[in-house]
Amino acid sequence: MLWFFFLSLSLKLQLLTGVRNIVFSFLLCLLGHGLFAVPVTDFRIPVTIQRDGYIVPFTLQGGLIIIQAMINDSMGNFVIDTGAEGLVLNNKYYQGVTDESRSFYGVNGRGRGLTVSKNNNISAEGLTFSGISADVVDLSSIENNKNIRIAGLIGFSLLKDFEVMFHYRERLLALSRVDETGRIIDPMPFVLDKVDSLTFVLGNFIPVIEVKVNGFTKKFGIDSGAEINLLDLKRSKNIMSEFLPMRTIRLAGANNEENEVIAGRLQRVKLLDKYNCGAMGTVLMNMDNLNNIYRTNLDGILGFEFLSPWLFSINYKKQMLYLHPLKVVVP
Amino acid sequence: MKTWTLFLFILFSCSLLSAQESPYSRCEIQGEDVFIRFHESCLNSKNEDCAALEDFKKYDLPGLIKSGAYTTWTQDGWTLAKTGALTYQLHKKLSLFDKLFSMEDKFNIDISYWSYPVSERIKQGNKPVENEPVRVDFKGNVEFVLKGRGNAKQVILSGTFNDWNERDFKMIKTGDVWKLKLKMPAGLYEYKFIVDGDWITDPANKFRVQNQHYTYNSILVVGKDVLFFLKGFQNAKHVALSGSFNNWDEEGLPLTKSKDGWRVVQKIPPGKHYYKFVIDGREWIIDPDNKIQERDEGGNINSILMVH
Repeated sequence: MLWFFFLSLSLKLQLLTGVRNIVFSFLLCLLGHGLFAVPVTDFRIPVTIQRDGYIVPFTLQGGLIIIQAMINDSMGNFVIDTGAEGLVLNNKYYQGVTDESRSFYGVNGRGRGLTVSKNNNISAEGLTFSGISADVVDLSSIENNKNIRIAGLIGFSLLKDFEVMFHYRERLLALSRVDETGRIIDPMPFVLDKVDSLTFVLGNFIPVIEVKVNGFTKKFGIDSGAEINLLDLKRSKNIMSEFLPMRTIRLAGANNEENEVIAGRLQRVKLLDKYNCGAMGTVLMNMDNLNNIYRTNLDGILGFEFLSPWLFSINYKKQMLYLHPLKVVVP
Repeated sequence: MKTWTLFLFILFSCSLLSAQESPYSRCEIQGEDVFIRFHESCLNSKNEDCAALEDFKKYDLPGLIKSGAYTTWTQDGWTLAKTGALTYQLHKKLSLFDKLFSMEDKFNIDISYWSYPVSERIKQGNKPVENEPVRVDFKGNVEFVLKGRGNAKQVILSGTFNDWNERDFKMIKTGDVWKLKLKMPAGLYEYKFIVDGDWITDPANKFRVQNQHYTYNSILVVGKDVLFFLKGFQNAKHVALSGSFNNWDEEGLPLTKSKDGWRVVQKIPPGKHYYKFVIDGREWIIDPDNKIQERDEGGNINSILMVH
């Protein structure tokens, strides 16, 4: 069976990159048989030069997806954050002008008077966005926690015209441009079946899905910028039996006061009434103001802990979350 | 009779001693109340079973307990009570955990609170380097060796790890052998040697792939050697390893039988992996010696391996 998997993978690679990989494919088949001393246990979907779609490799800092992108002629690290409204730039490196008309939902701000920067150009792996407005905010908390320079966040407004696959195992994003109806215009060079789909609504700019937790329907925002899931204390009383507390931790709150929250794992979360999620790292807190930000009554946020074991694609135009099989399928 | 009584007394004393010495701390939510129940031995322990008390270091609980002042102590909504000879519980109302969410919280939570300990199965040494550029390092994890080119004036190592740079990675000649050690993250790499300007594959490496110039590049896999061992099962005819790292292959990677069990060493890339052993192609079992388990997306319990 292993040889068959490698053969399947090999055929896939051949289709993708032609003759170049025939020998490589054969090699993989043999490796599947364990004939050689050094087995290949890791493989990558190759990046092709054809513009069939965009494969953007990423690294993980903790649970954050970090891509490298060119912003106004300089290279920087960006967090892919489906919980952010659009492009956000770090005020340590970028300047903006105050826009009194705008409210700030971003990383550390509340209220009006957002600093914005206009006409930015950003590109990664051949994918270019021009004339983009960005919120300019203090992102020092991410830099300090992750010990990495962060140029900014990439959120909803840059992702909404694509079907975006979050492939945590292969550490890549696959972006296929879609039309206004959500139909894919430039399909990826590899095809992954969609074994299931889940509709979502947009809560302001975050995808909101319904899941079952111990039989109760709950609404969660899908946020790739959250490493740990967040669960609203008040709205979760009926599923508290499924929250397994581990310990208390302290988070900085307003005026730099430290506040206690409870860290634990959330279990028995079910997608589409049939897919069970493993127990996920989750923090309990008061999320009353989340509803102001996302204009939806959310029970919490699902982040890396939820997304990473699966293979999901988000199609913002169709408002669909697709579930792919983890095995590569030969077209 | 006396001997039996003495024996039972010793047995009882030992079990009591053992129970008293085992540190534990548990966080529990019961209705509107949050409890942290712990054994006194956890107060000055860094044992991972005492993690629920980590956040209470600043309160000097040992001092409070020693002085007896804990009975009237209250701080940040917490109270402390004695529940047994050496056991205590902290209590706070659930409603007092009312920190209001802010967008920066999601970046401030330290994910390491939830991390699993690194598996003891990972052999020391041969450690790939994560999130660092490949560099020359005499303590590196990968050594490139080229023999039989003793007459060459210069040998350069070039590959996908340095964007096929033709100058930087100069190999060092020792006798007739050219060597270079690199620090490399886990991954799949292609490389070649440039011997006095001629590009050649690694003659000692039979892994090759054709490149766009219709010649070949050598292939290198950098992972961590992980020992998988299943104790016992001497009556089994075949034991295999199957997991997320080989796409849950039904045939799996065969283990080799030995006196005390079955074993195999496999290169595994960094990350969180699920696995099971397959006994005689029929029975799928979790690793009985690995207490770290989790339900997967299908609801099945699997053993977990963390490779960092």
